[in-house]
Amino acid sequence: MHLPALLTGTVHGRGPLPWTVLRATGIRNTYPLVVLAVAVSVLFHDGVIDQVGPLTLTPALRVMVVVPAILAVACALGHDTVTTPVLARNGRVLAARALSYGTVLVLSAAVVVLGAVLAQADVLAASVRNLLWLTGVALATAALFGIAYSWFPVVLAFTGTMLTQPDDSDWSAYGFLFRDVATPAQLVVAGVIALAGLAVAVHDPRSPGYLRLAGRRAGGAAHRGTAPDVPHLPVTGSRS
Amino acid sequence: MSLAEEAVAEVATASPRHRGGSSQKAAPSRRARPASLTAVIALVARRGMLLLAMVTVAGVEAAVMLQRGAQWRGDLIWTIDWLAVGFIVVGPVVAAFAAVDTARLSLGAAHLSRNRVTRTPAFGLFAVYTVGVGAVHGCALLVGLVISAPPAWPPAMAAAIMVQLLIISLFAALGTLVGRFLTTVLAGIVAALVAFAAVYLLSVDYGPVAMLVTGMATIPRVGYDYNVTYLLAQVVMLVLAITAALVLRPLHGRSLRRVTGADAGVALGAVALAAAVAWTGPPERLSESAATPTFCGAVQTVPTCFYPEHERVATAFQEQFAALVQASERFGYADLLPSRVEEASRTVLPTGEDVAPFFVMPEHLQGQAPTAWEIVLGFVQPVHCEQVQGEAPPSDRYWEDLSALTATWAGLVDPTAAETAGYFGEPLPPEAAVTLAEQFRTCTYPHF
Repeated sequence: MHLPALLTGTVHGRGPLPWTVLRATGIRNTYPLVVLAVAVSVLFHDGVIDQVGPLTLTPALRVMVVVPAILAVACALGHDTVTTPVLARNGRVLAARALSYGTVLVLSAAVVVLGAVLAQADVLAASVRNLLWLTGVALATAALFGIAYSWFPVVLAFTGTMLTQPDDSDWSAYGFLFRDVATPAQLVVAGVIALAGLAVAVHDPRSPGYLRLAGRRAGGAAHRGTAPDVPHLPVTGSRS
Repeated sequence: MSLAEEAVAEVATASPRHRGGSSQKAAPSRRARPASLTAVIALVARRGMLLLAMVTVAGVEAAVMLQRGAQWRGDLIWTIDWLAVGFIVVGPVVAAFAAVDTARLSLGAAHLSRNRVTRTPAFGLFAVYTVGVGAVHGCALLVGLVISAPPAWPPAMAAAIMVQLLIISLFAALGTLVGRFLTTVLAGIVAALVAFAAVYLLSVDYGPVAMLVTGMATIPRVGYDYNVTYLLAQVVMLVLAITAALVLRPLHGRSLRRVTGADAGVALGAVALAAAVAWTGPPERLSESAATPTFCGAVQTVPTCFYPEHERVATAFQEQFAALVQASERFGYADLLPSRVEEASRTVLPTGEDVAPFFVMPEHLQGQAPTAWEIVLGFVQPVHCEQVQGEAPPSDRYWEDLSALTATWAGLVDPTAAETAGYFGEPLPPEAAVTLAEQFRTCTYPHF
């Protein structure tokens, strides 16, 4: 269903075209994570994490600074580039990807704002900072290495920062990820990272413009880790 | 042969109990033989993410070892416990990679999921990640222990190491559990969140045996021994939890509703048994040690004794002791000097006539030299007195007198010590200082 929608704009599903495209390109992958983020934001908006395993976190880490990490991975899963293989690289395909990522990003921003409104402390800037740069990194990872691995830099950044000592720098791992206030410079840098990641993901340089079914050759979808669910689609287009 | 078919062929074997139909019966005999663990490891290293997981774990553990000046050196229990700090990173990463590989490499092998647990693709992935990542952690521990060169090697350390390896194994099992039920896309992040939640919830020592507790990061362990009963309870709980995670598998497909009642029953039983072990186990992971400071020397004829675990920082302390003894004698405060100086541990505070304690703090083990103020405060602060151990804080007069005494004595060595510590009063005369020190030592100070 989605291939005609992507290639010709013909809508065979129900609902408006953007919704059809979103459904066809895997936005449902993001539902569990967005729901989790909303639930955590509503239930624990003023919560803090002061101890994880053997480590005592001083100062305690605000939950609303962590929630953007979940949303960042959700953004990266917003367009399943493997189960929606493209037959041609054209503006519609890029627009479909931009639509997917943009939709989840806007949704994520709404969740972050919801949490910030509910929270008594002012954590909006820090949450937005984290959402922006973590999303940028997750999107780039998804595009370059496969969406199944978009969690890797996000998880590594968060858990790794727990092992570092707090400091006063804005650009240390602690200052750029865990501090619950954000400077304008941090927001600008985070925004640039988000835009760069979004550009890479929308461009999708690893997508050669033909079907990437499971295969043993390097560069095949299986090599990227997410392919074997791909339905066998008829190859009707050519690379443009 | 597709990736999935190759994985199926190598990871699992045909079994008369499988429900996959006739395809397996027609398979070549090569496929019917169990794949060796080595072959499966090679497969996952080649086709999966095992190598990246191992490299990540090695990098994290190396970074953890080098943190804070490797202050754990010399202290065996601290050395072993310190390395497990990295589990905060290792757990989610290993679980997530195991989940993605399970979801990906076992595709097309749904017909094998009803095999005996040890003949399923998920178990192969579990074994591979346990062995691969466990080997990395074992090597890191070995390196840490060689560098640490502790003075004694109690057998209980084997139980502590076993707990850590089983924790890694549990992360792998949780990963394969998630990978059995979720798609490749969601498996990684969900497994990472599950592992992080497990570390967050199950490593807090709140009363019952905490399955994933591996000690606290920043506290020296001199004065403690491992409580072997606690560690063995952890081992039993971890084995039960791993069993529960491995036994849950879908009949086919990925739906949780496809789990058989028998499997669910076994898993629930294992979890219930683990909970029972937790509530019947001992409350403390470490027990108090009767060890005494046996690394002794003399500074200006004053015997000074350290725990052998802290031998590497003894010189820095002895230099301060020597300066303190010389200055005390030169300025007429010799009566303040104790006849013997002994290191205090976390559980043993040397007390008695003419014995003064001192404290080796984590920052000293990071390479920071002790100050005269720190040493004198250890000598005179009456932490052994009941009056300062209650919930009610001591009086302001007590703090003023303690500061005056400490500033007077430390000021003999370092004239800036008092000002640095925020004391701006006049030094006490020798007689008053000796009287106050004696009152603190004997807990007869009237203004607590």
